[in-house]
Amino acid sequence: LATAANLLCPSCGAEVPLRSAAMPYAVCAYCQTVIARDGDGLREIGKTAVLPFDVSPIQLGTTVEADGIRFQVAGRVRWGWSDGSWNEWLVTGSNGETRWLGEAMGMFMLTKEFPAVLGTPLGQQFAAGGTLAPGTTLDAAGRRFTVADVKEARCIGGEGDLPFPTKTDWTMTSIDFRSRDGGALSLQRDAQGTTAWIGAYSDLAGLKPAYLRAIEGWPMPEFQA
Amino acid sequence: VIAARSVTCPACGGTIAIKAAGYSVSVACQYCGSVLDVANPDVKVIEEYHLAAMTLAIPLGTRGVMYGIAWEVIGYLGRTDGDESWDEYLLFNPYAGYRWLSCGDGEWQFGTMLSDEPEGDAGSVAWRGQRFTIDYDPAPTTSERVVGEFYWRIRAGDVVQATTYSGGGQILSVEWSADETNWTALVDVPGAVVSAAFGVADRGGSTVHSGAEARAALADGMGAMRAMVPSDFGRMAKIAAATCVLMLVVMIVFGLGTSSTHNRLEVPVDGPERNLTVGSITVTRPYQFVTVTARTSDFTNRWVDLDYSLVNKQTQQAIEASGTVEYYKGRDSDGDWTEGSHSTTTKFAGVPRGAYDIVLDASAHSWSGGSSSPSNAWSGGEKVTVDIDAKAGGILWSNYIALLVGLFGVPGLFAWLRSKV
Repeated sequence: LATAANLLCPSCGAEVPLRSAAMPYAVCAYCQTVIARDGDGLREIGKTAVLPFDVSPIQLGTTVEADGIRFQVAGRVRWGWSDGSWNEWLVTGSNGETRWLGEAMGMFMLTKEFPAVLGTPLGQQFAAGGTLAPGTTLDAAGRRFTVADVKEARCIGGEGDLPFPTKTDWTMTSIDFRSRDGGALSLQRDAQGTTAWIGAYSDLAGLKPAYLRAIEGWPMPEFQA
Repeated sequence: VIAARSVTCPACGGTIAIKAAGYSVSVACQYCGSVLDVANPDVKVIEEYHLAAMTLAIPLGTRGVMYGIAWEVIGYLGRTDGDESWDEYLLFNPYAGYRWLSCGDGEWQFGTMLSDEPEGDAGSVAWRGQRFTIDYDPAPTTSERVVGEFYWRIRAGDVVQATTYSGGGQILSVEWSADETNWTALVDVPGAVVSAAFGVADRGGSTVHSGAEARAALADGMGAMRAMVPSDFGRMAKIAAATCVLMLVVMIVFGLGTSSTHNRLEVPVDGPERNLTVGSITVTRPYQFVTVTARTSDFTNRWVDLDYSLVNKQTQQAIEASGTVEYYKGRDSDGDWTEGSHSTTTKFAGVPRGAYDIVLDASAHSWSGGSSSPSNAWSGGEKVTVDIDAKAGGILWSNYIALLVGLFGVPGLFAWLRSKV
């Protein structure tokens, strides 16, 4: 039985390392082929775009810490919207838990799935195709969240292991909420359905990161674990 | 290891390095001022300009260490609220994100954007257990000039509403537009610290010329001197000497007749502002100088802001002036350095005849020396003792020295050079 770690890309033959066994999709780092893990085999299902250069300090393999759990970055989706773009890094915990690390404007937002909010009237309104205006408030997890922005996003590309195939015709509506104490709530709706995520804003140091990406001309920060 | 990205300005052809690739959305070309959209791989011109390249106090690309982190200046906004204008520099480090460094009237502030927003009403807000009260009515603030790269869509002429709130020795700035509200925590930074970090001229006022420029200017002056008839030289020197004597007599006559007062004030470091009526002085001549000297107890990496008001007892009209006592010590690649002193002299020129109260508002601040973050720089209990001596009258020797240098400096240099030929 072949171990997943030495499976080869069905398109170019490069090795496709396994970062998260739970993720059904991976992007070949060499030819950007989107690969589905079909049982013990790999199946080519399309191509994704080469991600444009950015100065993100995060890379596949970077680890961060939250709630006493160590998480490792397994994949990334890059989203573009009318006024810029941002990264969503998929992180998997030592306990098997999956979270998303959003990265925009040098700030980070680590969130976990929070389906309860989809049961609220505002959650149902959004899931049914409605929108929420900036300033709208929603009470969740004992805190009051306010809509900060609403973005119509399109997938620019992806890398690593992911729970879905990153196709460039993939679009979604994303609403970011903030609470006064730095809490983050996010609702995302695409053709497949609506999901809700809750967490907190943080700077990079607050995530106790390790294995950060080296960026030419810049020293590694002292806070790296 | 990854390299940087650069784009070519479609308007002027200049090459612009994008320092925060992936975050930056707009770039205002440093060569022609055109605003470009760099959110997508195909660079688009949003607004084309053909402006002259701008000279900034801190040029784009300059790096400096503040609070233990190396920052690169990647953007500049020249802003105004109609009454006042100031500079804002956008700082970036890929591992630490963005900060702001602003400079108005020679005073520098370091700003950190907040993800936990203050709560309250228009008059006062609470943030991290501290109450802040509004400083002035919100005013429209325009970004008149933009250069460099930004993480939002920017254009010259963008207007936001802005105000500040103060409390506990800290300032919160808020700006809002139809789309969004941004809060920033500001801490004062001594000019000497910004100067040490970014190599900018301290207090923002003076321009630093290179040695080559200074030598070229001197050579021009000497050329003009050579053209002069030699016999004029002695006569001019005599007129100048007579002027100096006359000036000295005038200054002594007008400077005589002094009244003085002394007082002492304890100012808590990073505590609230302290207020003191230093005492009364009388100006006996129609117009006279008032000199206030402040000497402080010994300290390191502290600065004391002194705001003086000279309040006329009859009319209650006030004349204001300010001073700073600052002393810093540190270590960099050139070795140990110190900057500043423990005393400062502030002069009020041309104070009209009358009796005055001298009122002092003083606040003391600590500078962390780059070893810790601004939020934990506050320390408790420490005080700085300030001794204040004020006197009316006296001679403004600095003016006299300026007169001597002005009259004799260049001719003296010329005479010396001729004597060597």
